[in-house]
Amino acid sequence: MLEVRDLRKTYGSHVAVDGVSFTVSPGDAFGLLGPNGAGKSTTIAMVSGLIQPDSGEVLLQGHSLRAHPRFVKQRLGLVPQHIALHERLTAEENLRYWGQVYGVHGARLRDNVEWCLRVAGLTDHRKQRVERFSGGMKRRLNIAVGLIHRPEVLIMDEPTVGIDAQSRNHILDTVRELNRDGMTVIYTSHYMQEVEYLCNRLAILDHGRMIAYGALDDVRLLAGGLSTVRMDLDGDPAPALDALQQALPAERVEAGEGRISFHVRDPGPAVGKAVLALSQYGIAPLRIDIERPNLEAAFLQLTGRRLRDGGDA
Amino acid sequence: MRVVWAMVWAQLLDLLRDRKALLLILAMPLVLTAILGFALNGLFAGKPLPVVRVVVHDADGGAYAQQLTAFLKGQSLFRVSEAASAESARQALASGQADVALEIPHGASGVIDHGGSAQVNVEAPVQQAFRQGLVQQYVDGFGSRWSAVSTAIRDGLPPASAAAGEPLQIREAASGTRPLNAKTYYAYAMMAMFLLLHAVQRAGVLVRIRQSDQFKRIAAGPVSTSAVAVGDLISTLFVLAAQCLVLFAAYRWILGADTGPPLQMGVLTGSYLFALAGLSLVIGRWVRSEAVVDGLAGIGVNVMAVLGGSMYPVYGFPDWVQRLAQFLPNGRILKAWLDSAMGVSWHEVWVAAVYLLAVALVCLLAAAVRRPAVA
Amino acid sequence: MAVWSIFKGFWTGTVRNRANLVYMLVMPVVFLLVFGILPRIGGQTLPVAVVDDDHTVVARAYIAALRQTDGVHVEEVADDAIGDTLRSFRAACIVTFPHGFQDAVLRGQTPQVIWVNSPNASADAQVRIQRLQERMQEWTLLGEAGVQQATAGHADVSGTSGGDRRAEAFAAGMQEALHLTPAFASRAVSTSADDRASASLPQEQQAVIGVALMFIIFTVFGSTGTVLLHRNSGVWDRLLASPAPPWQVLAGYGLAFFSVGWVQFAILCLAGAAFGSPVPLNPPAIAVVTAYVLAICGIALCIAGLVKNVEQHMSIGTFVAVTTSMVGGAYWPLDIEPEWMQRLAWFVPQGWAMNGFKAAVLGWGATPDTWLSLGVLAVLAVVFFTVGMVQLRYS
Repeated sequence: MLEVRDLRKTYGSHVAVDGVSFTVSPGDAFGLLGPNGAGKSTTIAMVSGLIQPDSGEVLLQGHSLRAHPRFVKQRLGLVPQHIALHERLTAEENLRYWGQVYGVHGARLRDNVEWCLRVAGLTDHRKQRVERFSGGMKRRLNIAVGLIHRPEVLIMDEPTVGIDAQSRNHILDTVRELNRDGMTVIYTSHYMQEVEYLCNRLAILDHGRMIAYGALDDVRLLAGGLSTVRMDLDGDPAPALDALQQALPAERVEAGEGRISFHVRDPGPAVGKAVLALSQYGIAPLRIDIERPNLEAAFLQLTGRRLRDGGDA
Repeated sequence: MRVVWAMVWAQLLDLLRDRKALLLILAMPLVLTAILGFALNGLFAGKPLPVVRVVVHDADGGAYAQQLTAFLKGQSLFRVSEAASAESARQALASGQADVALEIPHGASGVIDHGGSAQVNVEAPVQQAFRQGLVQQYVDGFGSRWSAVSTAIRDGLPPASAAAGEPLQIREAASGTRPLNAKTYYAYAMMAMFLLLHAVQRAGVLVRIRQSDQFKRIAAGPVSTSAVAVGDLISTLFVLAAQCLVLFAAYRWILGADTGPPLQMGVLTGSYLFALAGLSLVIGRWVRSEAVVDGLAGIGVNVMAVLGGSMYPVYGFPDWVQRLAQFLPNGRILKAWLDSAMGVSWHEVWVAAVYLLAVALVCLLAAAVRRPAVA
Repeated sequence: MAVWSIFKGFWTGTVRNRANLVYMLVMPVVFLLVFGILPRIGGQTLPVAVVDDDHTVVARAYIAALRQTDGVHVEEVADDAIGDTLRSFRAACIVTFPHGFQDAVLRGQTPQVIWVNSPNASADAQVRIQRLQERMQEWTLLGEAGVQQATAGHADVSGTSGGDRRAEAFAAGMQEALHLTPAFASRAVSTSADDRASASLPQEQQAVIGVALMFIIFTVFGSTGTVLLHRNSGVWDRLLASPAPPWQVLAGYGLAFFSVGWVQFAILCLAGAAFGSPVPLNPPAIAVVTAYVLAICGIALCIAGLVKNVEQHMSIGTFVAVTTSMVGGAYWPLDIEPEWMQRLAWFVPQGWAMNGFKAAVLGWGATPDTWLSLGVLAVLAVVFFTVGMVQLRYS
């Protein structure tokens, strides 16, 4: 349905996006994951027609964005990262405004406005100006405006940056609901949990390059099926580090103040060995977390960096 | 006292490191003063009198006409030449050799002999209207003087005393007032306005701080609220004084504005700064929202500046506006500064200073009755 | 059509902002009031202050004669108000009739007045002051002649008891001076057919137009600042991502800015009409406003492309508005400025707009001067608006 072919964008000598290609099928929830500055937003900007790629192509149902911008844009809905609303207009006026800009009129516009207000849970606040909304309400309306023309593909650029947990959950649930009802979604984030929760397929970007792409389970496997083990200890692990490394020869043990972590294929026996090694130095675990194979680990495996460290690590 | 100094120091550093603010409070007043000073100098000192080149065509040739020509030739303001015909007089005008042409008509002397008035055409292109007016004044002056003398003689005054110079002694006395030029006017006009603007903006800072956690930190500390108020007052005074000194130095030594006796200027300026600091504090205490302070800074200050004479010389306003301006701190100080620069007695300086200090006192009392609460 | 929605949305947002309304409605009217009521300092009349310390028939006769003199405005002030009168520019000169003035006249001595000139009296005023002094000499001469005549006719006037009657004779003689037929009377003849360069607008209309030209800059800068806001918030991205063609987005915004400028002008026009100084809205005036607003929109958009945030945009806008309006003659007629400063008006749009308005208000018709102003404005409008729009498109 949506096909992105070998997109490339440079700013001066800086290569922002370097040969990104992916395909999104109808009904997909496609995740675009990567640290800050990985090129997610640039990719999204090219896919939604905000900037021209240096090379490469975006096709929707076989129509190129470059050749038929109206056809493609009519079927895409963009939810920008910031609150892209008119502050002094009411919720309803904003929806009508954007509906008209997207070429929706008359009865269809009326119906869509009602539907969007329902989706955003703002039916009771329709006559209220956006400037008087809470942060969460603004976010919800921001998404609803992206839906006003009932797009076939909804593109969301980090819609949960800087908001509270409750609003975040509401947004994630809304997107999931929309996706279940058949809407195709492209979702960018640097929170791997969100992508894991929402998406069935994804691409991971780093330094403008695509370093992983495919179904969620396939990408997870790229991490080699490693689980992450984190232990909080009642003492400093430094003296026990050599013993630990001996007990777990295959893994690299990272130690911090009062804590250690390592990645391992089979966490059960490894935890036992580690606890034993530590007890010889009189250190006992206060808490043990085991994370099953996940994107975080995959990213770590692929780049040697943690996702949340961001692009400047 | 330590607290107060810490606050003053922090505010000063804050200001020095804010380039935009420095631009607004220092560069703007200088640029505007320069423009206004050059543009409107004509309103104050006027243009110097030009030398007027007059070409006279005397079609009459009688005694009176010759007297008029001789009279004009006797004026240092005019450089008089004579033309043989009206045609050549106009030519001299057209070619730019003369600014104004004077046409004494044929038969003028006859008209005067019969007690009539001889009409003399003073011709000039429109650009020379000012010079034309000068020539007219002298021609009319000569005409009326001539008639006055001849009437006096007819009425029985001895011709000798009638023609003898000045029956009225005009003793010219010095005014004791120094002239005021546009640069000086606008130096003080801009200083009054921008100090006021800065004071209101500082009130905005107070409001912002009160709404921020910075205020919670202060309120939670062991410092009394009155110490905080004194700190606010002194830091505002201090920052305004710093701006005032820099502007004053720039006006005095870069633009060459005049100033009054240092002591008078000091008393006046100090009183004004107190009034402004009081105003700033009272706004900072009573106004809740930053938007309102911004509105005051944008609109209130502009209106006060216009009424107080900062945009256009206050002397051009109707009397009631001039009186109203004396109630505004900025209008009062502008007049007082200028009076001092032109030369004024201490009595009048004190009247202005006491008024400003009274404003300061009222403001401080109004600020004191309102204790700021943590938002 | 997207153009219309964008236009409508823009205006709804604008009128719902109370600060905007104050800026568009209240401020200009205040400025208009202030600049509209300004009399010209150092205008056509010579302000003369008089101090009468003599309170006699003769002194009053002089003051009455001063009051009747053309081109002189007389204000009587108290002795101790001299300094303030001079410092407040209320008089170009102060004439004091000292105690004993009439006595001197009646005793046949040369009477004396004390004359103080303002240090700020212009050269022009000084010439007029000199002329006034000559007039007073003439009055004295004729006053003396009047006394002479009375004495010759009636012997009883000559004694000491006849003092009052002699004073009245003096005053009557002075009166004669005011009805004197001068030997020569000048008449101004202009040799230029009609000169447009030095024509000036009536002051009230000058105020309306000048304030309008300045506030158009304020409001247009205020509205183009929203582009920065929209760009930062993502509204701009959303518009570009929409299927509406870019020209429609640009047209929507362009139309909005343009209409804001025009509405500001209309507000000032209405206010001017309400205060009794209507500005005619004839075709040249409409053309001038249209071109001027377009030029300002373009300049504002160019600056919007250079700055980082709305505050910077607005402070540059204020600075540009105030300085160019002063230079361009929007605050006061340019002829009070030195010539080199008048030339600077060639380089700011307000200068050409003021000239264009002269053509419109004074009804010049289709003369070369009219076309020159309109032409320059049109060029400014096309150039700046195009550059502004292009930079908006590719920002």
